[in-house]
Amino acid sequence: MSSVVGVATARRDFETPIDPGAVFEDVGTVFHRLTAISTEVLLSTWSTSPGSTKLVQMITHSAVSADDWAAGTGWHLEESGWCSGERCIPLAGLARDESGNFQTEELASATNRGTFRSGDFVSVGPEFGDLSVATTGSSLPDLILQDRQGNPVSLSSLVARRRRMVLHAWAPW
Amino acid sequence: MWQGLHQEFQAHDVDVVAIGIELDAAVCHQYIDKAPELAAAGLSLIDSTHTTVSHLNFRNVPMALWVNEDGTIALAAHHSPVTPGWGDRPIPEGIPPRMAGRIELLKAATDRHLEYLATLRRWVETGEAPSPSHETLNPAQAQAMAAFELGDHFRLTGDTLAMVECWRAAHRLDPDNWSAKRQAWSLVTTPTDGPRDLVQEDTGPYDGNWLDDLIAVGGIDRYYPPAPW
Repeated sequence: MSSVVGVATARRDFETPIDPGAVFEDVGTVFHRLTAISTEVLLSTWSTSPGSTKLVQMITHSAVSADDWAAGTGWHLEESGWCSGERCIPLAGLARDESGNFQTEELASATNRGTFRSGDFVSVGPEFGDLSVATTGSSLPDLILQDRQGNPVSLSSLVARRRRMVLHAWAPW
Repeated sequence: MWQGLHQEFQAHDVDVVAIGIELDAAVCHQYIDKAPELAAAGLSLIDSTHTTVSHLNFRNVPMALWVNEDGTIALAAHHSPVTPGWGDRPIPEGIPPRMAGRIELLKAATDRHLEYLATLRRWVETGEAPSPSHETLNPAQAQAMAAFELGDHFRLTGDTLAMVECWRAAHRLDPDNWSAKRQAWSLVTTPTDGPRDLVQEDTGPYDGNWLDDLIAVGGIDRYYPPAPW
């Protein structure tokens, strides 16, 4: 079962049932974030762009299917290996279990993603290195935040205004 | 101050978007209500998952990131002082010694707010942005962000022990991620429905606190780093 794809589908089509046990945060017309505790992939924070949904960070188990990894990170399994945009890494050296799943931490390491394990869970963090977090000259990642009323607001909807912006981070702590 | 800058920048078609970083979104409401013009314009947002820490590198506050009309980043995340620091103001008498020590550290910070405002206004008025030094995320920082995310999952599912384990690791892996530290500390030191505790001294199960951690890493420049240009 490719639970990430299922979650993404549920997000796009709100009539789609979601697995029992799912915990929702920021419930609104669009789910900003959810924790489907009965599925293989447990939590996803995603970004969207018109016509697509791209998950950018996820929590899973020690093994992950190719479909889940693709949905969670944007890296797709192709004949030449794992590819993201114009980058590809060869499959050689990446072990698969009898179900065809990859070792999450090994795959993360090969694709420059930070991971952290606790018990049965492996959290896959952002990419490090030269293509890491939003650098000067790169495109603004399309993250989903919320407004004062709890409605989801995508950064892409702000970019669509075609005005320059200063994003100012503050916190109550 | 930022709402005032937003008004000032309208003549140049530049918006200020305020992003409050806080796992409990409701805590942000009282602060948002103090800048109603930004909220009414849909430009006051809340990040209740720390996704802007992981994906925009907002590792402390205040920080800012500038964006061009086409969505490209004109200047990546950076410390963004727009108000004066402590300067020569005296330390109030009779305050607890550790509070005084905290203010001593803040007083040692170089006041860069005029330089920053001039640089920001130059970009707003002319489009000329500074050229930053190369910014990347290192493996330990990325791992720390994964640990923080997993800790938040455990927070949401009620496994406090696992949450603390993850957040302690996040703090150890990336001692300069003050967003991760202060968020975790605030959940310990702020009483339910009480005012936010900004001193964050008795941080319970976590290893550090604001003053000792800052001294340990080398002082206020690790908290308010110089501009990356």
